[in-house]
Amino acid sequence: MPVAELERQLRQLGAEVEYPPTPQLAQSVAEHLADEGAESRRPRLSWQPLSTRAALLAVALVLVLAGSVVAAVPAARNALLDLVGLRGATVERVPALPDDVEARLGIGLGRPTTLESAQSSLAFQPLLPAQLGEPNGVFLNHDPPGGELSLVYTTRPGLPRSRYTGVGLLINEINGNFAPGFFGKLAPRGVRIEWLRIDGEPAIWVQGLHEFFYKDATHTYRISRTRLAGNTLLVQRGPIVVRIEGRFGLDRALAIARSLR
Amino acid sequence: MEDSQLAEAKLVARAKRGELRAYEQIVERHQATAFRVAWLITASSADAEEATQDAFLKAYRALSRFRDEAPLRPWLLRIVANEARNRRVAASRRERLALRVLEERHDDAVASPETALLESDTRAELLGALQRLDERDRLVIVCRYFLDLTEAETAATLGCRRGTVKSRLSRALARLRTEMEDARG
Repeated sequence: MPVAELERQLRQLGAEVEYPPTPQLAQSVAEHLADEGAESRRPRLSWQPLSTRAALLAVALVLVLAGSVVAAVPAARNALLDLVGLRGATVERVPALPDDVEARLGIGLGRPTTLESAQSSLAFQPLLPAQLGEPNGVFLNHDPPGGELSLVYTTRPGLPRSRYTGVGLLINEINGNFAPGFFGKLAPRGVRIEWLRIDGEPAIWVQGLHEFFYKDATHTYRISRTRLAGNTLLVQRGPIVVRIEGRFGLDRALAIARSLR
Repeated sequence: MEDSQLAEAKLVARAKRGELRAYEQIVERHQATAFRVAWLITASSADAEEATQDAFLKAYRALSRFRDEAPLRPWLLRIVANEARNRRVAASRRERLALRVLEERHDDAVASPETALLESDTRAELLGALQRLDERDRLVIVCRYFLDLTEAETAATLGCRRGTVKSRLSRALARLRTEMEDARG
């Protein structure tokens, strides 16, 4: 068969191929990017942002307290723009994410357990979101002093699946007095960070793709203990630092935080 | 510059400034071809959808590095093809998963480009020969004749130089012809 005829037949075949229907990706891609903070959207909310002076004081205080931590984080050492911490968490602004950070589902959650069993091992009384009912998974991690509780909620309306946790909602709780700076975040350019007060206590909203890491007792940064994370609200509730992560906006995160009992 | 290219250049400029609506329109323009490229590489609708979505997300994050005067589609297709290849490689490392995907494909009425073709003797013959080609040869043929991609777009999809596309296509067509002749005995 001459090449020209072969080409003609191939073109005809090509026109008759029945492809699977093309998924409508435009909207989901745009929503995903909006979740990551690609576009600045400031919702009208009832919370009170920290005053500039209070934020600066917090930055100064945490810089003094967390100097050794910053020195141990290579990506942040030369490019620290600002740093604010709750008792159990730090958020550091960096120019870009390290190249080797990956999405890793389940990292740092610890062993599966039950709420009853976890309560006896924790140095604090766990907080549960009142409106969501019992969690679908409970995990206990003994690494931080006082323990870490992780609550997992599967996908449901208002809680779409996050590609970074694999579930609808992930809540982590630690006692910040016992485990200062145990949760760490590196937030690159473009990620939105808001310092808030929720019912009088400090909170930080991180909107966009960032790096989440656990620090061990020596405050050493280890890539094996890091992962990519999506939108996260860090809330101080007494001694407890609560970390709320999911593919939702600040409104939803605040509603969950306020319902913690 | 043609009207459609000009319109696309404007969309790219707006997307670079952070206008998500503009990027949404870019995705709408290219999602069908991008998805088909991903499907031809992964042979799985689910993998292709995920690869295409991730590729568009990566492309947005890399948009500041895209040269304004360059055509957008080859640049996008290179990212899509890389994502699709990564998924295929990851799947083939896990035998159990590959088996599941294979069963899924048997159940799927449009599981591969070849089985989706209309039945006829000549077409079946051509189809059989295409299936016997190795993936490299098959892909260059489907890019050029099924998806009607340009040489530059095909090169981006295959991850090779533009000049290589011509020689690779020529060899692939020769092998296809040999396959058909061998089948006839």
